[in-house]
Amino acid sequence: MKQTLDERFLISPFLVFFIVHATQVGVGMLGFQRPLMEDAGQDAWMAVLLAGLATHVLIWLMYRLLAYSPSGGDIVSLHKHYFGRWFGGVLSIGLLAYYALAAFTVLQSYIEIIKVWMFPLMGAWQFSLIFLMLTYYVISGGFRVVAGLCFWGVVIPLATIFPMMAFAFEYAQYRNLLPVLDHSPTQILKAVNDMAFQYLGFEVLLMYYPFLKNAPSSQKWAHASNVLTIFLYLVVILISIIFYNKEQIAHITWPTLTLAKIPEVPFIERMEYIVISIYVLVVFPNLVVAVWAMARVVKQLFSIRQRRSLPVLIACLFIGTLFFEEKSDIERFIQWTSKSGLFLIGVYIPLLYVYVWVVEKVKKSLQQKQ
Amino acid sequence: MGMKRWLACLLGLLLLGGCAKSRPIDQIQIIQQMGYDFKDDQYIGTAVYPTFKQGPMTKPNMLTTSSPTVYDLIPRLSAKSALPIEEGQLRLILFGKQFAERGIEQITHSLARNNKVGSHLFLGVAEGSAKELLDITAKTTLSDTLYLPNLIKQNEQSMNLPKTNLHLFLYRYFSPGSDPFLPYFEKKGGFVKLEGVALFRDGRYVGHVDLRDSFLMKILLGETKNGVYQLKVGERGKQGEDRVMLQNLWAKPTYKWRRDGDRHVLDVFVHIHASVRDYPSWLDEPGANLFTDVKKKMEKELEQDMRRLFHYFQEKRIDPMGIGDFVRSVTRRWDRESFYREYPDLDIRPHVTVDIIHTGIGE
Amino acid sequence: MSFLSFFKKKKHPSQLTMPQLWEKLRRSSDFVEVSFVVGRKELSVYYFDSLVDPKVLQENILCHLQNDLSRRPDVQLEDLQQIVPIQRIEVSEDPAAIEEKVLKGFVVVSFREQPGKAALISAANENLGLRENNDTENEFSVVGPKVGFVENIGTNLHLLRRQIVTPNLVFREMMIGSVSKTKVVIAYIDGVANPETIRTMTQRIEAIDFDVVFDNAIIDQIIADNSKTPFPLFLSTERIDRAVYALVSGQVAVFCDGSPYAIIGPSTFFDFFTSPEDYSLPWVLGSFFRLIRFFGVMFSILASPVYIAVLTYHYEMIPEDLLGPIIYSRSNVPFPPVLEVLFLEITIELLREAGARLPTKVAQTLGIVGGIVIGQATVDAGLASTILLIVVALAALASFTTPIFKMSNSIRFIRFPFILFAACWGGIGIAFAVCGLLIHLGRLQSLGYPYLVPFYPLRVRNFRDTFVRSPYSMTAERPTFFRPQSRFRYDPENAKQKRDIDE
Repeated sequence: MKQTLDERFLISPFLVFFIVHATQVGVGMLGFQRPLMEDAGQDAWMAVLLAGLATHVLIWLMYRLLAYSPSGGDIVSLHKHYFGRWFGGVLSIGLLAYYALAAFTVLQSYIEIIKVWMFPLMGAWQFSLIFLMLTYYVISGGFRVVAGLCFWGVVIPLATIFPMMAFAFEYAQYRNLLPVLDHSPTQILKAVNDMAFQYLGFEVLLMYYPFLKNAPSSQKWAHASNVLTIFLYLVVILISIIFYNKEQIAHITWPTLTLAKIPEVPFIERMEYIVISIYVLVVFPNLVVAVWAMARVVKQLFSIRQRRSLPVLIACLFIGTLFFEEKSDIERFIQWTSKSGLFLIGVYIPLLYVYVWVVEKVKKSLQQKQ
Repeated sequence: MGMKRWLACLLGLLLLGGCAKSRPIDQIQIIQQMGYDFKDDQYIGTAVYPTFKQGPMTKPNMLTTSSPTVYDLIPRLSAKSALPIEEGQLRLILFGKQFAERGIEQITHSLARNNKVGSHLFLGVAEGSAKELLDITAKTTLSDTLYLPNLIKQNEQSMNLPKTNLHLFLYRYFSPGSDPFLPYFEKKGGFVKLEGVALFRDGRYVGHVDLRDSFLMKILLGETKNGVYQLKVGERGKQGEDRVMLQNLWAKPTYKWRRDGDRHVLDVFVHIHASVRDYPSWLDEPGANLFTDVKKKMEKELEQDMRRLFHYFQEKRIDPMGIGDFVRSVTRRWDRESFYREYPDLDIRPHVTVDIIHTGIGE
Repeated sequence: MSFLSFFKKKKHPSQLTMPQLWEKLRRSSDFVEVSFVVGRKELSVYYFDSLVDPKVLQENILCHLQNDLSRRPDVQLEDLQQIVPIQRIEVSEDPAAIEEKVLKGFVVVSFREQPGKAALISAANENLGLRENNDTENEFSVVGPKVGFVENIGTNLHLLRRQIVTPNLVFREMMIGSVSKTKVVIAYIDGVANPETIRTMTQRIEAIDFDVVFDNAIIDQIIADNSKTPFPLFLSTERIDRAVYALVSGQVAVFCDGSPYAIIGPSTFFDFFTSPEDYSLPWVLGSFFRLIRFFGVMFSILASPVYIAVLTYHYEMIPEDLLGPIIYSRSNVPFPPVLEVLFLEITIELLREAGARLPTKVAQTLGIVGGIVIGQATVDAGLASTILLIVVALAALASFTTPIFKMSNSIRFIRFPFILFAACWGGIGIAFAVCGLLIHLGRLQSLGYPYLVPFYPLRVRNFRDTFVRSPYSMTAERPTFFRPQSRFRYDPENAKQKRDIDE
């Protein structure tokens, strides 16, 4: 399968920094504190740190795996190469389903937030329609434009939303962080399990690997990006710990947004509306990259042109959002995505890597014998 | 063809999107203060809202409604209003004393789940009925619907009231090591006066302390930079000439928790930087140790007052100072039940240091 | 069908002979034929009266022909160069070439004894009908030269050569337009501009298939990468220093006869916000004003939509002190905020369009009257609120801070989709519109180079000349996103000499 793409469509490896960060941070940032603090209380920040470090290992593993794919291709071609056309196709379809699930979850959870916080009486279909139309517009511009959107999705929120956190220090109770390490390792591990889902998103790298110029050199940028993500999550969890106490946070579904109610500037109050609006830029890259990955898998497997498959995929997503609107459905989807994502990254990729490594070793020793 | 399709979609969207539920600001009725009362098995809700017909100056108006449940009060106000009621700009919620004694748990949880109100919302307790107090403020201030919230804000910023708003109230309410408190208002003559701080236990009103004690509460809660306190420093002079006025410039409490034998002791170190500008003239007499003498007297007086306050809290079995929370932060595996069993017998020892920074420009 | 046949005829060489050519041209009354005998030679002179400078014709051509031909009876057409004091006399037998040259103001001289051949002498009156002053009216700068390009391409090339005194400045000339045969010149500095850029530009211009090329703006639109966007993809400027700066940075300039504007490509989004004034002021001031310009543009796009969004959907965001004035001023208005805003915006657009068409004297008065009186009356009649009037007026003002006129048009236009999105979905609508705008800008390319560079793709080193104007000691390096062949403008070391205290 031809993997070398025209140089015009490749992006500089430095941009991986923005793509990885943009796909990791999503709706989760708004509410991840709750399960963490339930399990680990004031030691929740350790869980954040540990989960982030585990992610570094997984990213490294992913790069090592991709180094084996033929002619610098993505994971679909890797499947095909090592498992043959049919079984490799089945595995890739599993990947497709995962990306579809991820895209759908992102869309629905963000629209839920819009509905609860801003427009309770408006039909959700309007927002999903606009989202999906914009998604089509982005993807039809090529991967370069997708990467550009990720760039803006990192820079603009960091510049506008992040400084708002500073206002929380007025109500800080630093002694909420004490006593340190008051929880058993099991509790902390359980929190790590809850947290790991928030770091997911970098696995889309499995699909856009061939679009990077000099792909192996992008690894350091992926790691740097993860560091930025860890830093952000760490700051947010620390601020949440000193701002809320453990019981209070059990009553708040989206602690980060409620935190945004605090900043008071002479000419604007109630910043949370600004935060939710700018959050479109945070959520959008997640959706777009996942849909792009879906279209790309379809193209690699079935050789259907992306221009044709894209409207179909988007229409499917839209119809899905019409049917699954209830809060319980959304919770269920989040669970599924979380479980399958963790399975994919934590179990499947390492196993795949081991398998591929063994196969290569065997091949090499056979060749040497000859 | 692609262009036409896009345009058609967009137009269709826009036309349909126009059916969105909009709340233009001149077609809603914003309420800025809300009062909750309980009387004769009915909950009474009072809303204060501004009208802007005579220009940008606002004229406060009131709406009252009653209902057998708390949740229903704001929706029921719509039955008496020409425009839809919107609570997004609520600044103050006042609880009547009877309502507060019954328990504010329901309303607290409702506020915690309400996304429309801001976290800077003030809450307060009124002696008597909230409706009456709101009525007085509406009449005495012809053009200010925010009289009470501004009163609270002003007192918090420069006088003796400790900081309270919805976020802090919820924080203390939900925290296992702390109890909430709110400003307490009374009716004095034709005016509403801030009387002190109302104390809660398990979401029920149990009593209040006056403004003088609330200064102590304020400096014991955390670092503060304002507030005034009157202290007795001597026996000389006529009635009223034995007190000085201490103006707090900066005060910081430090808590220490230790064991003394089989009891726990809580040491509270308070360091106050004060300015003393108002004192009786007999203190101006040149006397070598007068300064330090006065200082020692002030410190002792403060320690006494603090001890009294802590005893009061211990008797009432409430913990608005958040001592439980502090102990939690220095103990491994802190257990709420056992701590609060021990709480009434806790030995709390305040140690106060006063630094007189300056005494005004005159002599 | 007839349209195509017109083209087909043009492709084949004219089958006309010389007499047929003169017959064809004789149809127009400004075509002059003069035949006379000098010495023993019979000669004919043909020219277009409306194109030829009579002084040159009389003094340089006819005078010398009449005097010298009598003394040298055996001179041929090819030797006319020795007699007539005009440069570049061509002798041609091709009627098509003769036709072309006659239409350009050349004088044709043919001898009876040499039929089928003619000498072409240039006598065109280039400066007739041009305006006298070449002040840059539309790109005015307080501190800096006010001289700009004019409609005559010869003058423009002259002005350019005066500023760039290097043999590396190359002009490439071509003829565009089947009816107008406009002279178009591509200018670049060889050794600095990327050959790929030059090639793309040349190819695109040569591929233009148009009848009358009125102006550079038409060339701009035809060769643009994407014609559906409201954003200009090529910089157009009247100022000489701006064109020179562009050439020195590695860009390519295109001049068109009949247009005082030079278009420069490839250009980035941020080129449209730089003003030559920034370079005349100290860099601190220059950067400050540039930042004000950016802020002005953002304010201009977002002010009205935010007003609509806050007042229609997010009343909770208004601080308590502003609540009174806002509600009071809105209470008299019968429309929802969207219609109010659209009404005022369209009024301002009408004022602007009317002001552009009216003669200057009337426009000034009407502008003041329109602005103040209509604005005041609108508020008093209750059709708009005072606060909105201020917001819309400020936004309109802010949209004109961009130095390049084309961009301010784009910004005025972009505001309307934002207004519609804000009216439908409030704050989220504005976020969607911003997303859409960023994606659209990200997709744009100018001559194949991304439009949003140096923001995306991120090139931190080139930030030096976008948001802030760095001091001249730091601008030694050319912006890399045009891939120039030469990296440095001047020696950076010498520019940054640092001295110790009291040294």
